[in-house]
Amino acid sequence: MPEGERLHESALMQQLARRDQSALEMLYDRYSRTVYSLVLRITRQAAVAEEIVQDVFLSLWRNAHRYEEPRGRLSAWLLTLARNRALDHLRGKHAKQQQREEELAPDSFVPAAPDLAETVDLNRRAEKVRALMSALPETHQRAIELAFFDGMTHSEIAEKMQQPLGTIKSWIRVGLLRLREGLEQAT
Amino acid sequence: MSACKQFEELYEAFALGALDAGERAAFEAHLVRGCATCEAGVARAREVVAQLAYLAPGAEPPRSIKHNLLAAVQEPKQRRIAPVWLWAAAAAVALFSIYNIRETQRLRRQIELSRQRIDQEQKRAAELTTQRAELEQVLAILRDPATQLVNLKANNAQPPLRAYWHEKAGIVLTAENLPQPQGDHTFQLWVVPKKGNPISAGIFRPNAQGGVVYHTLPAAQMINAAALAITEEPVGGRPQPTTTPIWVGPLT
Repeated sequence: MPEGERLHESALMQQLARRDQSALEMLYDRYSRTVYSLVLRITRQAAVAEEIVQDVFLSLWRNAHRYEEPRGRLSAWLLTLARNRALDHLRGKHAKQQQREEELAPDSFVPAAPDLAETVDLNRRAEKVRALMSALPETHQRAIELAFFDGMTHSEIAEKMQQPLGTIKSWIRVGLLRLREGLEQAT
Repeated sequence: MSACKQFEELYEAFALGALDAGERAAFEAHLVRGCATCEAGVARAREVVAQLAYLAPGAEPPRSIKHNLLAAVQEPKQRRIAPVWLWAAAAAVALFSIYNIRETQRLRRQIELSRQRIDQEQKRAAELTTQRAELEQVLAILRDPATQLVNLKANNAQPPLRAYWHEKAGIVLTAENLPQPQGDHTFQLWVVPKKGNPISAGIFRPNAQGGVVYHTLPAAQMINAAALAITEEPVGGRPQPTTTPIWVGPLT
């Protein structure tokens, strides 16, 4: 979607808070593909992914009044909520769902850099993230993916990759810091 | 700040959910104490971690999700609006019912009070009618030329009484500054015939000022009456005098 046609996320959220369904449709059209792809990657079950995606956008609808202005947070909020729901399903820990929702109050995010979400088109951002990740050593990528998509802890990753715990911690931290730097430079 | 330095390296792993239980608990305990620096660091890390979602292979969501989503947000909206009207209507009905009950109770009280007032007025009117009839009778006796004035003199220092005697219309007894009978005793008027025992003509008590206007209807024996007498008797009077008459007045 061209940048000029995009309504600012905060304006959309204000519309959403006023129970404007057209705002929900616009946000769904903008983010549903990314959210669905993420959830499907984690759960690997289409039916489960559909249920979780609908649930995530319903949460957005219900919690729109809690949203505050800082840019770039909405996509992060949606994606983090979707990931947590998917991981909860993966672990069968539905009881944790409520706790994670509480942790994910919309104001628990601040932008990694000014205009991060607004100035980078979603597709371009996806390409950028993939490019930055590809630039990392495969070991770093693997460790980060095991944590992000499979919900593994440092120890579990160390055991799976048969590497020392400190090494795994270092790979993940270094990898994420490079990703952040790369995204900041892109803006 | 030293505590923050200790946790600084954990921001990304915490946001990623990769910390082991011990580290996670320690860091959460630190955050709970309200460390703004670490909270901001974690928020930035979450933003970066969220971008990893773009690494997932692209997949197109089925259209049914959007359809179901929009249906889901429409239903609660309808449900949300309907109860508002229902509650408002229910509240209005409840308020109206309460108002009606109170209004009914108020009207019932008013009706009851009105009935009581009407009863009192009717009773008062009946009393006035009786009083008026009595006064008319008294006036008729006083005006009638056939009426005989009887002076009743006391056998002691009591003031005299006057009786207006009419054979057919009855007796009117008047007095002023009369003393009250003792205790609950009463005065009793007697018609003393020429022959035979006295006949009671009723009992009376002076008012608070000692005044008396007593009217009694005629008795059959009044034609042969020789005198009027007044005794003091126990409450309710007696069939025959039990005390010596205080006032006596002969008829001519």
